[in-house]
Amino acid sequence: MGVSWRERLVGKWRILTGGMILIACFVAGHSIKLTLGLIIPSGILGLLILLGLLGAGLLRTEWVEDAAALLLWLLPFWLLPAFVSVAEDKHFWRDGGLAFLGSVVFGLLVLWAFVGHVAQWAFAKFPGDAFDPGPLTAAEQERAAMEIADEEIAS
Amino acid sequence: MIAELLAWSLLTVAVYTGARWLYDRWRFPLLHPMLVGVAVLAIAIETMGRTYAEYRGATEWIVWMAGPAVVAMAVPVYRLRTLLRTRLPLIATVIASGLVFGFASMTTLLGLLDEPREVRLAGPLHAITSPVALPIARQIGARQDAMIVGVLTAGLIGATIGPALLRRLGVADRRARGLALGCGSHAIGVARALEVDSVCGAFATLGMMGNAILGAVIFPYLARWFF
Repeated sequence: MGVSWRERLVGKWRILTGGMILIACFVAGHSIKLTLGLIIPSGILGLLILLGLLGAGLLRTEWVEDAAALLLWLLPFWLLPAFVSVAEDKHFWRDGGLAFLGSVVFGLLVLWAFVGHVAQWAFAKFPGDAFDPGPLTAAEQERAAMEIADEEIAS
Repeated sequence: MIAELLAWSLLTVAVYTGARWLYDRWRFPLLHPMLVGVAVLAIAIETMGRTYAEYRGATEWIVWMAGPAVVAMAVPVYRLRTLLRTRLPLIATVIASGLVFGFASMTTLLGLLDEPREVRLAGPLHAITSPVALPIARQIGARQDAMIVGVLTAGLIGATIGPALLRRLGVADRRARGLALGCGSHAIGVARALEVDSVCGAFATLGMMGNAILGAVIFPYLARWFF
């Protein structure tokens, strides 16, 4: 049986109200940034505010999860106009683009090796997370994976 | 003015919808909606004889929405709170050391190549997810187009050869592999890590989010101290 019009309406209402909450957190973050003269992006401050509200139990995950999933699924779209400017300065890419690109590839490999080995050493030295063999059952791991997959960052 | 805003916005929606359809149909990293979308829009702007500034002005509201999208990242982070509660100090330390190492190594390398200040600052931002990297780039005066190319390159390499290369580099622990993928190749790397396995995916998500949050706090200060 299909989804009733009432359920669809409730779903849309949830996205709308969730979206308003996310925008309100962003605006609050922006105001804090301006007031305190911080150099942290407004979005990150808004994220910390939302995390605080969720952690304090003042907001429930269900209120924002649908809107969050939609906004994240559309992430490449929100950034597309800013990314188009990459084609603006052809002079830069003709002159030094390849050297920059090579540096990024090299820097990425070095960063992977560094983070990977430091993390590997740290996990071995300080065991005890839920993904160490033991506390989390296969079913729980599967459920966690499903939850994360639902929240897959669309970018 | 309003007609211009509507026309450019509709064109962006149409291009993105088409690019998304293409990517969902083939699932090939080089057909990522961002790459195809940028190419098609740039060609459209050039062939119509319009300027990038006109386009950016008309579509500013779209980019503004990236801010609330960054806030939305709190939800997946909150979902991993059980894991975070037990591992926060360790994961935060690994990510922060990776950020400082990445910043120092990239700026030094680009300095040796005699690149100007704004390009040197754009280099290390390749590791940070784009909605966060963009405001950081504006904040610290990094070259935005270089930052964008860096972000896309890091993501694509992570999506294509990331997990296999990390194994080759001797990173056997799937948690460490996930963290490295998230820290280096952000969202596109996370999507690839989720395909590998759930544990790798969970740690990649943490790596990306942690890198974005800590990077947004650390990078502006590092830029101030180093330059």
